[in-house]
Amino acid sequence: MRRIRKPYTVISICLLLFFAATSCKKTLQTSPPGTSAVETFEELWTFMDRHYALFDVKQIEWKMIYDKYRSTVTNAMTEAALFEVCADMLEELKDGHVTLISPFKTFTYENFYRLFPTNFNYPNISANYLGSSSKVSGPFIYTIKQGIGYLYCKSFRDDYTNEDLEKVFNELQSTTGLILDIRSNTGGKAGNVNRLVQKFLDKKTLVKYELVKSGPGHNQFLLPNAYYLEPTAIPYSNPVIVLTNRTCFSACNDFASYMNYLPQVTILGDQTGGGGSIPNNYILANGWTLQYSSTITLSADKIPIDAGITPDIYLNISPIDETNGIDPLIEKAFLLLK
Amino acid sequence: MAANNLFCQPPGGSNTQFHVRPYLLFDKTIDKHFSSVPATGFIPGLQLAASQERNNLLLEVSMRYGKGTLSFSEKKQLRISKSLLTATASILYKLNRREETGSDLHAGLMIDFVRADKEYSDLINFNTSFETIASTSLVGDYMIKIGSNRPVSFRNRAFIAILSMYRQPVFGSSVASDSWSVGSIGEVNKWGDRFSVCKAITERLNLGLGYTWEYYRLNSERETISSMHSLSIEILFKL
Repeated sequence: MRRIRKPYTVISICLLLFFAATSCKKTLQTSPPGTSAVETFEELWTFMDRHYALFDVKQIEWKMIYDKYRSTVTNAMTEAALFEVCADMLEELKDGHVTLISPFKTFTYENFYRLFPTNFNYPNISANYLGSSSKVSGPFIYTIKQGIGYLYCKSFRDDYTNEDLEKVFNELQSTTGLILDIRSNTGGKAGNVNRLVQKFLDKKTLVKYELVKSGPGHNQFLLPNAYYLEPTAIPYSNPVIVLTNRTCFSACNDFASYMNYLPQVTILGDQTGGGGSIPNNYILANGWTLQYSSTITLSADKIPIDAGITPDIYLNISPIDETNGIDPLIEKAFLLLK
Repeated sequence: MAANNLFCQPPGGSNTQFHVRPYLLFDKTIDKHFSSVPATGFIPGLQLAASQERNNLLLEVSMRYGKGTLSFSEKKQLRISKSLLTATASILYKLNRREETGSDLHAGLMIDFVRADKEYSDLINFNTSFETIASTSLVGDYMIKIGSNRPVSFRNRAFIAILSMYRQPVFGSSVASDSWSVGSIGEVNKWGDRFSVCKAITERLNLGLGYTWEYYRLNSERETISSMHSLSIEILFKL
């Protein structure tokens, strides 16, 4: 070994080696995708191809959709035009959980309810059914008429306390039946759904299965994971009629699915809007935010609930009824519970 | 991460040393489950280490923890909370000592454990991720002391992981995978280099500065890359 006489020579060599090693990092590190129109389209399509969970449930040939839209994308197109192409491509999924957000525009699939009757008119309910005797506790609005309870749950987004829930059910416990209105509830948090469902359980109950992707293949999933809910101390055990419409989506759809399996429950109204999956986010290289369905939710008897929950009794609100301030769903529910 | 062992050597005396190393780390992370865009930010932390020299062996253990916030260049408002825990144990053999230049050359093995937890709190649902990597690495270490009584030491240490086990969440969620994966270079690329300079202040105390570059990449279906630069203050006590 050659003798190194000058310590400073050694230090210099060390420093050179050190900086040579650290300067390699750019070649070692994967570069993020570019932000040209073609690269953005490719990134979006590829990410969805690997992570979107519902291709097989919805029987969608994603490669065919690529072929359909890829030819319309060029690097010469504007960002706004690219956004339209991407939105059109995502719309093919017909999934209300799929959203694309850019600084200038947001795409969300809304035809799961826009193509159907609204079947809900809150001002009519407030004026003609709730009246001045109604009470509010957390997200719940409720009243009791002729021994029958009416409970409107407008959303599962806002957290509520156990006290909020107990206050409602302490009063409703005396009723002979309950109308539980979840129309136009567009979802929210699973925990809020679970706590409300638990008020109707008399034993530990299987409510759903969740399928999580285990790899990038369209049908690569872990085994279904069963979810159970435990009952609360004093369950509400009288007949319950759950009112639904097409805007009952996501967590609300889960709620309808869970309640659908309880023997004392009847679902009345229109099919729910679906959204039976857990949505997730992804940030594209150009800064757009993608929301996509990342799981499959199966009902307690292992049927995908993404297309919505079918009611036991279909009923719509006619324009004449709506004009006259009548809600036929509430009227029908009262008749059934009397 | 690793390569965070001893870099300051006292000029003589006791062969057992204790190191305190506050550091500021600049992290550049890509977690392709959330984005291909790098997230960058600073992670302050503290490393503690102990070492002992016996015959021709240098034995070292260290532990490091830091927590900070990263953000995307394109989406500054999206915050990522990241914590980093590392533990290392290494055994190095003295290959060469040159008294006339005050230089030492060591080589050996290092076992290290890295746990990185990330929370993308502004994203919905499965917004957490992690990687746990346990590796066996080859380590090379060169130190040289200068000055009349050799009070100043320069040290450079490099490592490269040759065999690793790692664990991440399941592909489509935040839930931990049931199993560990094993990977060598190519599947798990992990290496680093550290340079430090220290000066003996008293018989029992050395102070100095260190700079470390560390990199790891998991070439899994849930690809993750992390490149880190850290500056540290080196405080070394002889026991």
